[in-house]
Amino acid sequence: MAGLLETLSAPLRRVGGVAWEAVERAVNEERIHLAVTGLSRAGKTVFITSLVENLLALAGGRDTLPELRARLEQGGANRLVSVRLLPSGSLALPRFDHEGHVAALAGREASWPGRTEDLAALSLEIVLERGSAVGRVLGRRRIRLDILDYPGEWLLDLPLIGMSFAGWAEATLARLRTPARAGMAEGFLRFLDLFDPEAPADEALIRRGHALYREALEGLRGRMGLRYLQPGRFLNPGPRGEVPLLWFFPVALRGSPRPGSAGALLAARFEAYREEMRAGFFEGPFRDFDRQILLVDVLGALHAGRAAFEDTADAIADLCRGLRGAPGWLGWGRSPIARVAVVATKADHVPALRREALLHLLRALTERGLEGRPGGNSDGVSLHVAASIHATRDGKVPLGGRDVEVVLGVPVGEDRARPYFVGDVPPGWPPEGFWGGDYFALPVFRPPRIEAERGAGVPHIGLDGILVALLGDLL
Amino acid sequence: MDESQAAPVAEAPRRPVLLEPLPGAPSVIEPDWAPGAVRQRVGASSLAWLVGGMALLLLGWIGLSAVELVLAAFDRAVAYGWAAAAVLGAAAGMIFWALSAEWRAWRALARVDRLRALLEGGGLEPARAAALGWVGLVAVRLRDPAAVRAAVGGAASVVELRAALHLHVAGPLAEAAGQAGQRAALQAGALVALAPHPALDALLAGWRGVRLVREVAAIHGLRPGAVATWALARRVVATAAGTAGVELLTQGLSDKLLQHMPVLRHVAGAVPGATLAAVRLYRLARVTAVACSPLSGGRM
Repeated sequence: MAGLLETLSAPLRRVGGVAWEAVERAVNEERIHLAVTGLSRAGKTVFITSLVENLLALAGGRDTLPELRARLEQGGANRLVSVRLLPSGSLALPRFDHEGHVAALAGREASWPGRTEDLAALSLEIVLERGSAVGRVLGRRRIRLDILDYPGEWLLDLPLIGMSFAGWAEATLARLRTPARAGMAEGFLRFLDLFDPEAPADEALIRRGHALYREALEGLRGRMGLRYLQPGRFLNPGPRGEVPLLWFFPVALRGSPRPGSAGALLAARFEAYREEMRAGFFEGPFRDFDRQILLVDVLGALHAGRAAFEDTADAIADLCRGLRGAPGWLGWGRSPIARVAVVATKADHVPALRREALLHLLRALTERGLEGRPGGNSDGVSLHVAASIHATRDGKVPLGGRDVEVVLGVPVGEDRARPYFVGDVPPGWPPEGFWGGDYFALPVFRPPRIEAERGAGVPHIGLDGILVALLGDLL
Repeated sequence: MDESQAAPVAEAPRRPVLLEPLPGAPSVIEPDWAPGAVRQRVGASSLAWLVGGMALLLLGWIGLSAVELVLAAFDRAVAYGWAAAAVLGAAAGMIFWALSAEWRAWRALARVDRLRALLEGGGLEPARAAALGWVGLVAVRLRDPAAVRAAVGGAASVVELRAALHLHVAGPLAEAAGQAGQRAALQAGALVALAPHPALDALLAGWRGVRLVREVAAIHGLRPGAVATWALARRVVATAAGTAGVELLTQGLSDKLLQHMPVLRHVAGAVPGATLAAVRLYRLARVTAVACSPLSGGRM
């Protein structure tokens, strides 16, 4: 009997140890998957950089995210013990270059990070101490926060998953032929007049058509400030760059294209593109995420004019519908994303007293996407205004015979601060009389000096509120 | 897009413009951002565990002895046993009632804290629900509670909600707290003036101070028991340290108080310590009102 016990004791201890570890992990370990996206130039990279820096600073004892700290400590529930960046391990995705972005912001000539061209991921571990005596006996909570940065343009491809080439081409061409866009797409539309989809596939001609279509998309984005441009990878090809499956463009088909024809090749490439986005992105890293931040450059869209504003509203509507799991797309039926924060960025371009109007404007902009959710705040969707890095100061200057509220910032490439008057920010959908005037590009202000050493934090507006809305239920 | 929701623009919209630098414009802009240090919460000390353990031991001993007592009484005679059980049951009921009152008072304090947090940065609907709950607690102090509820119900943002509470609720409560403070100041001034020995001054003023804290808390819809009063007193001390310390040292407040209370002015002439006690209590009423109010930066 004693021998049997001796024989069994080692395996029993091992099993006990494993079981204890499993129980400990179940009690103390949580994992949050947070995806951050936004349409081009909304400030995704700098948002993540600031978020991480301020979390690290908070753990280091600086009250950089007061709302989050208050939420953690509410009722003595938790105390933040530490935050650390986790090593990449065997991550299959590119790592978000946090250190590089901080170094760029902290340099003598501080500069903004470049645009998001591909997926990038970063993981943090947040350690919390439970407030109650019983909780402390259970041990410390370890929350692993996985952050994914991806181009919002890719998300705009979600509706393509349920579309045929003919359907997509018809809708896209109809949009492209509207007066606001037709001018910018003139070259491509003229090319289409000469293009016969029933003719045998000619690779050179198809590549020419693709190049013209992409030029049109780039013009619509760069010069008109439009955002609802598909396919997303035409503007953000990703790390593999130009691959043949991208060489297609919208063209009206008369019935089913003949095998071997140009139309058949375009349709086949569209199918392949759709399949790759579905398998490689929407059913890959994207599917695991349960929290989502959607950044919107509302001011940029407003100043770019009516077409850009309405186009952004269309894009946001599709993004919101996609994120909230509209039935039919991908056959999911429901979205795994529990909470979505829609954020109007660059709030530091608006004086503090007028940021409420920006929030109302964002509400109007997102209304279509949040249909059926009164106020836009129910059902896990919250609206915010924020500036990832606060690069301005509020001030007053005389303008048109009276003092007006402005923000003061040093434009990139200049060496003296200039006042920026944001103009009218309508607290709702802009009325007819609002539109008019030329396209106005939002000024880009130089970021403030950021201390290079860890723990100082980054000046921001509203990041703590976003974190509370998104993660509050888990903290 | 729904044009009916279009925001009216009274005059031609003003366009954005990047203006030329002003004379002496700086080359670097640093925003107003200076995060403070996070206050570290101190966990329960070994002394707390020791006190907890001793209390548990004591309570356990009392409880088990009571059961033993009842069983022994039943052994002697059934009627005697029932009598012992009835006496102990009644005592237990009274203790339970006191504890539940403490618990309710604690919960009310926690609700005010929650509303304060929501008003500082929470969602509109949770803040509205909490605000309506608070309005219900203080309704007897309001001139028109229905109008207040309508104003709270109609607020379209947290900012408006806070403004509605400031306008309709904070004013009457601050007024009532001020009156309670004046009453306490007068009583304390008179008691100190009549006290046979200066050593009693602090005792009298302290006793009246505790009563005053409870009065002001009741005005704000809280009915604190002993434990909640202790928690509230700690908060009052913190509030006073943060906002009122400097003002306590000034002469202005005592002058103002004496001007409005002629009886106290006569007493003050005879016994200088009476003025100090009165001023302190009056000030205590106002600091307690701030500590009890969910509106941050309440009227002092």
